[in-house]
Amino acid sequence: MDRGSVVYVDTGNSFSSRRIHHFLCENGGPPSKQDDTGIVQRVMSRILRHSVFDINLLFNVLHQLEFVLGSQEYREGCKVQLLIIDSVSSLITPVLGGGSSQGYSLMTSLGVLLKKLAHEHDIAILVTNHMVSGERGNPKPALGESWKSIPHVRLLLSCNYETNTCNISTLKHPSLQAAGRSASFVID
Amino acid sequence: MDPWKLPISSAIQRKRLLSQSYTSHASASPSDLACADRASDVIYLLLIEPQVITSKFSVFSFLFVIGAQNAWDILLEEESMTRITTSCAELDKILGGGISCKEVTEIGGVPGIGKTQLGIQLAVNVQIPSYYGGLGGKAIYIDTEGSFMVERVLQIAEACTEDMTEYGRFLGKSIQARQVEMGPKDFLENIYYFRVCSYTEQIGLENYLDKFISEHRDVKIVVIDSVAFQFRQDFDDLAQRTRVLSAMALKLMKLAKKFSLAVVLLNQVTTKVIESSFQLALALGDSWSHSCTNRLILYWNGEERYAYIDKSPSLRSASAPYSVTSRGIRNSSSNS
Repeated sequence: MDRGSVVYVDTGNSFSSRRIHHFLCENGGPPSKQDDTGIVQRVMSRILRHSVFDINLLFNVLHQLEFVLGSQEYREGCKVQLLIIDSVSSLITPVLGGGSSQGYSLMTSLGVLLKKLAHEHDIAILVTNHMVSGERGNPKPALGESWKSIPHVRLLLSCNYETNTCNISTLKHPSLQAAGRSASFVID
Repeated sequence: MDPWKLPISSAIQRKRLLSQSYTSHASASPSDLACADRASDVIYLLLIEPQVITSKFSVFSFLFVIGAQNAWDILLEEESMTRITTSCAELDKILGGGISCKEVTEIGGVPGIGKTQLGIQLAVNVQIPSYYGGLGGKAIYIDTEGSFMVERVLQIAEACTEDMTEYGRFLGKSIQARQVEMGPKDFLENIYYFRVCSYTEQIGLENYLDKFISEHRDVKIVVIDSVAFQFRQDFDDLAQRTRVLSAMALKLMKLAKKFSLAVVLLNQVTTKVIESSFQLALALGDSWSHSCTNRLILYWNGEERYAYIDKSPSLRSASAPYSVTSRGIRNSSSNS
């Protein structure tokens, strides 16, 4: 019971438990027939998916999580170690802009809440963002300049379709050695 | 307790509560307040009755967030979910059995490639009864371009009925006892058709769909043909268009998840100019391309039509040929 749990907040019905099962099992057969040791089932039962389609509901989920993490029962149970929000830009883009500043204030308060959760409860938080076209057709990250300062680390993923390799590079990192570096990988 | 004193995150929520006269909570229960604020009622339970929540949470603490599901349960659920066949075996193979429910699939391609045909085929195939391996549901077809031809739907429905009868005969007595109760006219009756003539009508219809589907729970697919048409003209403010489209995408996602149905969006192509060279890209821009769960691109390869999975969380990128015949979408003739 001292292993960590993962909370996955899904905004686009993209959470695929089948894919997770592929990662865990080398041969992809039906789940009920495999897994004699029960380890795959145990690992997968620690990944919790919550579907959220509204920025206000996201705040509800995060406040709920904050409450539970601070409560007495939680300290005796199993820890949340990773919170994934996929993706934050699809929740914020509908409210951003349009003359009113409510969108910006929601975005900034979301950022502050996430940083608070990460700091006070030792959680790693992974947030995904989209690339949209900027000036002269070059892609830039969505959510603009105000969001840039909120994450501690920013990573950029890109894919080369001809060679089918992907590249990950650090756009921003608190440590000097890590900033500006990149690595290649493939997705099977 | 005054709504002013509740530690709610936004002033807008407070205003909304006050405007509905919740000045003291003597009469308001947490669920009333949540309804007024259109938010989940757990947050109000947390704020007003924390002692109730601590007892609830001791049971639910392993869930951390009420309403969450763990990956193992989702996997078992998904294994038992039926998919909507496209009537083309190759296409079904790359899609893992067909179009899956609870997901938004975008299908894009050049004019004449067969997008509307595929949309109509799916609207017919969703109605295949469960004893033939289908979903036995109804379909909603939202037409923005005026390309829905009833005669063609009748033709495809007739071909589907003939296929079902033949399949029944092939399987033997157990199916024959039930006979094919559905005729081509029954297929037409089960497709709810909406014609939309402007983008405001389209947005209004999407807002209405929630209520409509709550009253017609057997709808299992919503086809929008095409989602781009009304948004490509008359929109001066592109930033507003992005906002409207992303809000629409979220609503469709929510619809797909809430009612366990498939949402299929048909999209057009546009030419993108990059550094004096041009390439074909799907319409509605980069931000829209992030909004769907799966994307299928239909293209010509010589004389043949091919479908390519461009985006999917669990399926491999692959291509499959298909053809458009008088009976609907079928396997490519060069293979068989």
